[in-house]
Amino acid sequence: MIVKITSSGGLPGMGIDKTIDGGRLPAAMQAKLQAAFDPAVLRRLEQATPHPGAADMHDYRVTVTDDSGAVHRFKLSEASMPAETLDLIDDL
Amino acid sequence: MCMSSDCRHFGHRHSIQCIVPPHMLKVLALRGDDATAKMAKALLQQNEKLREERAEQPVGGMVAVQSAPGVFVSNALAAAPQPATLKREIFDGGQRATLPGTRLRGEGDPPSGDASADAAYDGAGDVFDLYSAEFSRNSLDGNGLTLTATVHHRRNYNNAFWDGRQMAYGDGDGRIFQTFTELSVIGHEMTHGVVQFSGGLDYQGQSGALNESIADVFGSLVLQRKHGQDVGDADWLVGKGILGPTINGVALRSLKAPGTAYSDVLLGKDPQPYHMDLFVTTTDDNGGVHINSGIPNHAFFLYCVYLGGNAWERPGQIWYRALQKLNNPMATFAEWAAETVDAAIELHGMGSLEMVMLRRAWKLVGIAV
Ligand SMILES: [Zn+2]
Ligand SMILES: [Zn+2]
Repeated sequence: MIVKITSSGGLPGMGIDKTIDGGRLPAAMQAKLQAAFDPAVLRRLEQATPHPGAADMHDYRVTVTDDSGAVHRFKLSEASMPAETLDLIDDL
Repeated sequence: MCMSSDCRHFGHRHSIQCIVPPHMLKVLALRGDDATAKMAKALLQQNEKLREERAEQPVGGMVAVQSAPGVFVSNALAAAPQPATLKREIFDGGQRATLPGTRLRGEGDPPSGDASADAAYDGAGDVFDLYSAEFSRNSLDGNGLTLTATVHHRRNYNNAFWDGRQMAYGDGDGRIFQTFTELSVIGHEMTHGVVQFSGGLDYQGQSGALNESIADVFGSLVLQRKHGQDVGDADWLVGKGILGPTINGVALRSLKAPGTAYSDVLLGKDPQPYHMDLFVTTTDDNGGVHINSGIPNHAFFLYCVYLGGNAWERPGQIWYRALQKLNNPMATFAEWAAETVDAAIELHGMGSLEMVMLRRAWKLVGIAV
């Protein structure tokens, strides 16, 4: 699994651009990545609406290339992503 | 407007009252056709229940004006001023994303020794004081809301935000940003809370850029008032000193000269326009909410220069009153400008210097009103 993440928005109006290659991670990390960026999971998170008053949070564009080579694209709000997934983005 | 979908955030699921602000439901209950009115009333009742449960903060804070049925103003203008009740809770995020984190300092506690936590605590007090002393507003919701902030949010996090209930501040990555607990930034984030509880401004396109601009304006006013700076003394910067040591720039944004705050290989160039002719059309950043805010920001600055004196006095009062009376979450720049002119007329009279100069300021950024 290869995960490409870019973000926009945020107080400075600038974001990150990161590509994580699951194949290069230790097995335990790889399992975490697989679970957090499972396209079925992301599709569900994509339906979430951030709190209407929220401001300066990031919007993430996530492209997941699964092991079969299929490409899945998502647009996710920082507010709707689980803390563990955000921690994973920060750590990797 | 979608009335049937669910809202999900922060790991909990709850229904429509989160998506449609209460004041809009009230309008629908009054003005909608029978079916819509019935649904809106049912949702309002649910909302009341939810509010009692205090599961999360309500969004609107709007009340009907007794003497003018169908007219809604923020309860901060409608009600007699409440006594100020300052209550701060500062948490340590420990570089992780979970909110709020570990409690570090509560109201009245001595300094924690954590510089970010103490800056967030002191800053929240200064912002509370501006709204309380100058605008008779008791906290962000006008009702004594506890000011909750998390510092050390996430790792190398180049951002600060208001999530609908609390403030969160990253430490920055040390390269592009070195801190986010600077007073104008704290004022900016907390003002997003004030906007939310004043009826809200949809975080997209022009209404989103107005939300951003109002946050910048009051963020700057907190700083100016704290340091006793008049219009000429103030630097009109938001986020001065938060950029990394090697970044070529002075701040995040400049109300005085939008587009000039920084120009750097890492950070790029400050993209803010100061005139409608330079309005940026983009799908990023919710339609450039942090970019096009430069236009109303600059109108506010010009107006303050025309009037002189302290910006948080006449100009601040007009901006605050316009926000309380706007009752239009989808407002365009032109609609907001008209609301500010209405506020200037109400406070200072038709044809007053305050009104004439305000129209001139808006005209100078390309907005005729
Ligand atoms: Zn903002
Ligand atoms: Zn909600």
